[in-house]
Amino acid sequence: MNLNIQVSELENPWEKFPSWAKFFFDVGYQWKPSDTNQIAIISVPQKCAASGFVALGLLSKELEGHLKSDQSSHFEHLYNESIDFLELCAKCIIKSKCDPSSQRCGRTEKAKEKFKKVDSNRVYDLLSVNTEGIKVCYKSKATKNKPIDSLPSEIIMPINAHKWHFYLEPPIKIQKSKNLNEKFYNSLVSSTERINLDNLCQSNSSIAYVGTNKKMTSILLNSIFFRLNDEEKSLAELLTIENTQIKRVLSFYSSTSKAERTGGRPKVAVFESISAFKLSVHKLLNFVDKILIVDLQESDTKIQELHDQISTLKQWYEVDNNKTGYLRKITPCKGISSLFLKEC
Amino acid sequence: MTEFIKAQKVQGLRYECVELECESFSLVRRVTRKLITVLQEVEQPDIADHLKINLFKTLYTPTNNWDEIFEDIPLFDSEFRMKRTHGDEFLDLYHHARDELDAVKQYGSILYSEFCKYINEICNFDFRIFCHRRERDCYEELLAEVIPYADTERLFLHNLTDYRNSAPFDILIRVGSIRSFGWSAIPNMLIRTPKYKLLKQFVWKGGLNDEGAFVNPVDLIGSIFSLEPALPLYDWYTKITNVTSSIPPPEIELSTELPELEDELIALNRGNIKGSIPAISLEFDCHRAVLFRLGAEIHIWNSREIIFSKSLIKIKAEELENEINENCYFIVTDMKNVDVGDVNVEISPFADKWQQVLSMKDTYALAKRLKSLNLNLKNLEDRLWGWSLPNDSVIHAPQRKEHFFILLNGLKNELSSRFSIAELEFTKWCKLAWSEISRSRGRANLHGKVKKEIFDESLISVLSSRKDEINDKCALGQMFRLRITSQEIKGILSFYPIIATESNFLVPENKLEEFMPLHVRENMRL
Repeated sequence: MNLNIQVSELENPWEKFPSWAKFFFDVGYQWKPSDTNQIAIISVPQKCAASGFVALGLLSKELEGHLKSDQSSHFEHLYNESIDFLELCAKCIIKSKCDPSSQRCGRTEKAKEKFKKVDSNRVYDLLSVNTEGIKVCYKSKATKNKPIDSLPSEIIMPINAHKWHFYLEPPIKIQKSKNLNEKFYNSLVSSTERINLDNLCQSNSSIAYVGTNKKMTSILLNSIFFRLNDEEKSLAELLTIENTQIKRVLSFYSSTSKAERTGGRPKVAVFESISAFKLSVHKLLNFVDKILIVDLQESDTKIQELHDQISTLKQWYEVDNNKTGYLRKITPCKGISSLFLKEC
Repeated sequence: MTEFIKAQKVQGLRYECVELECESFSLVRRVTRKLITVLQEVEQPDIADHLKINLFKTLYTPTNNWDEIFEDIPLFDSEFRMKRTHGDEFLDLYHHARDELDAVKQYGSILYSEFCKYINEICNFDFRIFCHRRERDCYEELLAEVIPYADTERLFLHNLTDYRNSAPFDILIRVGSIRSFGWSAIPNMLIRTPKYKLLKQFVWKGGLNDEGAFVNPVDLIGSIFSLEPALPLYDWYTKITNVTSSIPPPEIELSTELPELEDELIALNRGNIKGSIPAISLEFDCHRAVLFRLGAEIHIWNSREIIFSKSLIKIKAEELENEINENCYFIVTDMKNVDVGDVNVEISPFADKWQQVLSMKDTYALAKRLKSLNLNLKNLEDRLWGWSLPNDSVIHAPQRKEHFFILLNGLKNELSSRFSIAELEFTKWCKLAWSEISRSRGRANLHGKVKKEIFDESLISVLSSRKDEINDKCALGQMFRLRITSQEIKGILSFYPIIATESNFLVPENKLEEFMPLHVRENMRL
């Protein structure tokens, strides 16, 4: 880690990367995937952006080395959503408000039907899906009353899928530019490693950040600022959860029980709080590694809920004594305690 | 977080406990426990519960007025009635307790004197007292005597929100045991996240602390997986002092025939829980409480909020633990239903057919046949009749898919012949009939939700429009009612000031959402 990078918490004076933040960053940065699922539970004595630092550690590791992005599964993802829209949502009898739980259609929200091209502002409508690809058309004000068949259409295929994305969602790939915060990430990773610039231009869903609600997460992640050579960035910006064109983290909120955007299946999920951990049963987060931050300021009821939830895992998980022991040994202060579980 | 770590390194944490011993009071407590046991045995639970709460009050507040134990209980006003109802032994026990209470009155309570002495010592420090809101009057009286000119308003913490919002301070004072359950419980969070340098506790001898409060919950989770015993969360520099009262010991010996256990809460609450549904309690200043099941949504008015939204007015009962403050009011809605029309099953081609066949069948014979096909439902004949009735908001049919398939198998011959359903097509036909039922249920469910949402939105708009009027009434801190005569909703809203929320209750279903006196609620505490 570059020693020039400075951190400020809650508008306090700038200081070197604090020991507690380094601990949580390292938990993410040194996270090793395994064949079986793993769960880490770490307590913090008061509300802080520990979960953000863990996610930043995971993200920094992900940005190193070979190309990692959602591009390979992107077409499949667009295709599946389109099929779901045509088969389920378009035929749904309830038009006013989407309610998958009462319809029992197997979805968690309405499937997407509007597409956008990376270098254009036009919004395209879904027409049909066939073996060739996804057929979409553009309706302008002048042509909106014309029959659909007569409108100009385009076909999204595996070969050109990277140029397309769902409307109101981030593109899968953007051009290289100066605003990708490359030097911040490079200053965070170990001195022998470099960030792969191609990774910075790609959207990625392999890391999930699960917050309680959007407002709380925003407050928490914007409580931390980094400074490097007079340039300042918030933790939220570096995690690409806010104010960025590309999204390198897939964010979920337990208040809405769904992901902020569609994407691939994550490999690791960081849960900001016990309330957020309720979303660990979400179909995208069910079989992934989980890192949970437990704020000791939570009420006793919430702590008991977590205790009960983890008790149910006893038959499938066991304690990883080596990792638990190591994390407890390097704990920066009292109040931070760790437990590392692995599937047995 | 950095500030927290710095403070932790500089100051360390101290825990000082003053354990108080007074044989007279000990005897009063034991006798009262015995009286409670007698009253419970003769099935006078209300009096027993009332006495129990009075006893708890003396244990958890530095009161000098121990007469309170027998106060407000009509039975103890008349010795004649006591003797006639419960016999000489009961009356003797009462007399023993009374004698000791008189002695205590003469010398004064040791808890009261130690507490006053300590407040005098620390009056220049920044200290806080954590107590239940209903106990506050007792502390205020005491503080008015010891530090008459101090601003006592900021000295009290009553719940998690108060504690979370307070800036770091020097000393936290607690009277009674440290545990997150039972009468006058204290959230473990106060121990898990210290904002103070010293935790000062005054406790009667025998009162037990919950050791789990001093352990990191993550370590406790580790113990589920047989990880080594958890160490204390922080390094507390502990000092325990014993203080004995100067009141001469009582002359009588009663201890051998009375329960030995000193801890009242554990002795009196053992095996006394009456219920099965985990619940949260909302307590009001009229000495009443309401219990809600976990996850129940309730309407709340918070006069601190400037803008109102659905998420602020309607929240889950368990979330109240985080939200509660002195400006919170519980709203009871007594309203005329919102008319949003009815939902009806419009087209049901499959149900029309199987219901038509069902209505023509002899229900007795059909029930017998279905039982042989393993449809073991109670009152099957009545149910068969119910399923054949004309549909209204939903298609009348068995609740479970497998039961429905058995029913259609029982009607297979008639259905096939009357409506020409081919043998191979029958299973598919059954599935389509079931999906028709599912759809109708989904639609009815959605209709219910929409109705609820419309009510909530109307309520929010009405409350927002009369915000100033409501806040004026809230300022008085008392229960009040509001008549609503808007176009959308009509009725009466009752606002009850919430003084506390507590978890860990087990309740019978019929007691949920019912206003009940505190002593009745206490029986449901886990």
